[in-house]
Amino acid sequence: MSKILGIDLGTTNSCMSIIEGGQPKVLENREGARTTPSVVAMTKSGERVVGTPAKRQAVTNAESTLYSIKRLIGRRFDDPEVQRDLKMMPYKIVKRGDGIAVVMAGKEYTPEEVSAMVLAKLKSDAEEKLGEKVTQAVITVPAYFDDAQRNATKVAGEIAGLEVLRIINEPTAAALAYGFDRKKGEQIMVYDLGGGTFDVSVLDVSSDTVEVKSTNGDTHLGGDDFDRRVIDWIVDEFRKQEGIDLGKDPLALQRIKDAAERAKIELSTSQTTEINQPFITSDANGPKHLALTLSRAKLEELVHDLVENTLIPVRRALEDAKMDKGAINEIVMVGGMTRMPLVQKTVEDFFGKKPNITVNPDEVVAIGAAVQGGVLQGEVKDVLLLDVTPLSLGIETMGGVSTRLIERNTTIPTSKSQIFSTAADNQNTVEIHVLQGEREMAADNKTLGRFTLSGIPMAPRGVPQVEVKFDIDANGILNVSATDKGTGKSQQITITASTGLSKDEVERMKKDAELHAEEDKKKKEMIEHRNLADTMIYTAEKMLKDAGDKVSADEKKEVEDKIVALKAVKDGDDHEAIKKAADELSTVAQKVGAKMYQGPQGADGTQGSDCPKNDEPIDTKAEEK
Amino acid sequence: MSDEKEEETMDEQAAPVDKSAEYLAGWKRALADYDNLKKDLGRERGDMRLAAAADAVMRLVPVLDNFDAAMKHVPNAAGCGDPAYQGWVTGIGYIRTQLENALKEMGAEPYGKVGDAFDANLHDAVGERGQTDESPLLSKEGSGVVLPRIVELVARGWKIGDKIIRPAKVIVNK
Repeated sequence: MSKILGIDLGTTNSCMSIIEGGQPKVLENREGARTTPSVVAMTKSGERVVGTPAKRQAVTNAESTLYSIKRLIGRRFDDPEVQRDLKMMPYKIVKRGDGIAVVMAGKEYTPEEVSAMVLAKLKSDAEEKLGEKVTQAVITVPAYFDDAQRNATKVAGEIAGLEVLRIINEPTAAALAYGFDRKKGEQIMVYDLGGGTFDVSVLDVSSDTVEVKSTNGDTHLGGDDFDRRVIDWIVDEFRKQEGIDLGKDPLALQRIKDAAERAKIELSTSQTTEINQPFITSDANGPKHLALTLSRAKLEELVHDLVENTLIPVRRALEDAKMDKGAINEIVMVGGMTRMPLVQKTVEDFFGKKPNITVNPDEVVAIGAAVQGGVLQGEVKDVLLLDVTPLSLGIETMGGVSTRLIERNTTIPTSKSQIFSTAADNQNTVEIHVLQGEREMAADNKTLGRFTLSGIPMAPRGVPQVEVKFDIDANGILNVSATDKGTGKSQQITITASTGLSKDEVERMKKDAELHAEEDKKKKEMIEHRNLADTMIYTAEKMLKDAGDKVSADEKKEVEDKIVALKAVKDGDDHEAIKKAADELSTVAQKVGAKMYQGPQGADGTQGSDCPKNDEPIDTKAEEK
Repeated sequence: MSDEKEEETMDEQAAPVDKSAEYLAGWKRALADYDNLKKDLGRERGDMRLAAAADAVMRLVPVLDNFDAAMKHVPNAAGCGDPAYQGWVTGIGYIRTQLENALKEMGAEPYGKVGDAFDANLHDAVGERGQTDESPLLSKEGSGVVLPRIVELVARGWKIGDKIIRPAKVIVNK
């Protein structure tokens, strides 16, 4: 089953998306970008280029670089829109029959053919990315497109070798991306402020359809206007400071343009930004630098009328839909400019509710087109719903710590195993205490069950290897087994209610964990220090025993003293004191260890610090309480 | 009526076989999806490493550009014969080189020079200018077509391997 490509064929940029594993995913183009400029050019060497390369060579080849073709598609030559563009576009627009053609390198092309070149690039880039043929597509168009424009868009798709399964409205696609098509009886406002156009639409979601009740907008308002305000401000400020007009210096202007756009984007997340362009120009007195600070407040002052003006089409669209703004249930934001906090605030203040902007506003339309494709293909419906474990699962380890084996939100079925060891010399049984919950200490989590693995051969602590395995099947039934790798002895328990908690219970346990996160962390750190101290005492004692005569009585005494000191504090609550005593023991033990010429083993404390991590000793009755 | 009944029984009988085939297909698909996901992840990890490097390079390249601009503007008149000043300028030059080397160690390499043929895949044309010097223009063999070429390099391009991190900003001949 080949993929259906969802395509947002935009005026300035296009974007494509597919459904993969039931989820929409935006595909990057060959250049690695998630959006592709809707620009086509014939270079002077006779090569046709599409997208970013076409944009890059535009300056040198203005009359053969075609952009904003979407403004022309499906139109008649005498349309006022076309007459307006005729004067504005650097490329030639000619009459062909009733319709129009554009000229590129002396040859005429219909707008359909030019759009097809953009679509063909998207198609071939998608094929390269997916490693399979793409033959079907869903393409979006503005809600105000008439039949001729829709049809022309469909033809463009067909020229590009795509079977166009559906032409859908851009606002409808945006609503689909949010899943609002399932919200029966809701009224949705889509606010789309793109690079060069502004569209608003009111949608009515009824039982099986999403109906466009009204549309409005401004075909020549967008992010570029915002950039221009910032550029003008920078040029003005520089003129005030240095008396030089950068507006006449194309190279400087280019740098300012880049800096203005970056500043605008930056101010969506921060309060101030530096516009720093050293050596921007020079005069008789030497080089001049552009260094300005632009605050969010200043930016908002520069563009607030542009933002305010977007509310006029919003009001008109509501009037046309015969609707009060209070009747709108959801507002969907589309277009990169809607990331600007002022835009969001203006819309929120007007409607009295927060607009939706969680789906990337540059990609939301393409994603919606892919969702529509998925619905047509049945893939979205077809998804097997996979369950997750609502809470983490683990066992109790030394010091009453809860050690997680399966993290919460892990998709099931799944299994995970980890090797643990004993906490005391000659410990021949381990108790496996199975826990559920997010808290750091075992006592705070829910006990799911316990069992004992016995018959572990006598060995020093840390030597036996006990493999604990958690396995949850698709029905949420948890099977925990413990196997002594030495003897092969094994015990297990089956817990059927591991995910059988009620929603409230799960929520409460999650909240508890958040609430106690800080204190739990401290408690766990404390236990870790204590465990570390414990290990250190054990290794130091062992070292002294092994050393025998190689160490002088004085040195032995020194180590023993430190061991006593550490033992005295290790069960207290002062972790600074434990740390200090442990460090001191480590220092003297290292001295002795070095003397023994037995390498670092056991004396420098590194084994001690590794130990609880890799081979966490399982808590035993003997060890605890 | 009887026909319907018969069909129903047949459906019921067929159901377990159908279901098992469906489940088997679903299971195979899931395994395949997982396998593909692993491959994708491997690829994505590589892409991500490149993206991270590209991002770092992208932030440092403008600094190097400005160092270059600064070096072009060293006021020569004031510097003559003042060894302290000369030494200072040389030192700043070394800092510039150090930054350039750091970028190269990150796997990035600069490209682009005056006289190169303009290639929109590599170069971003920020302007054009009438040809003033005497050197011949590149032309497509036999075609007589004059191809645009770089007459001024405003900023060098940077790439990591084949990936263009920043296209060279150039001025081409008219």
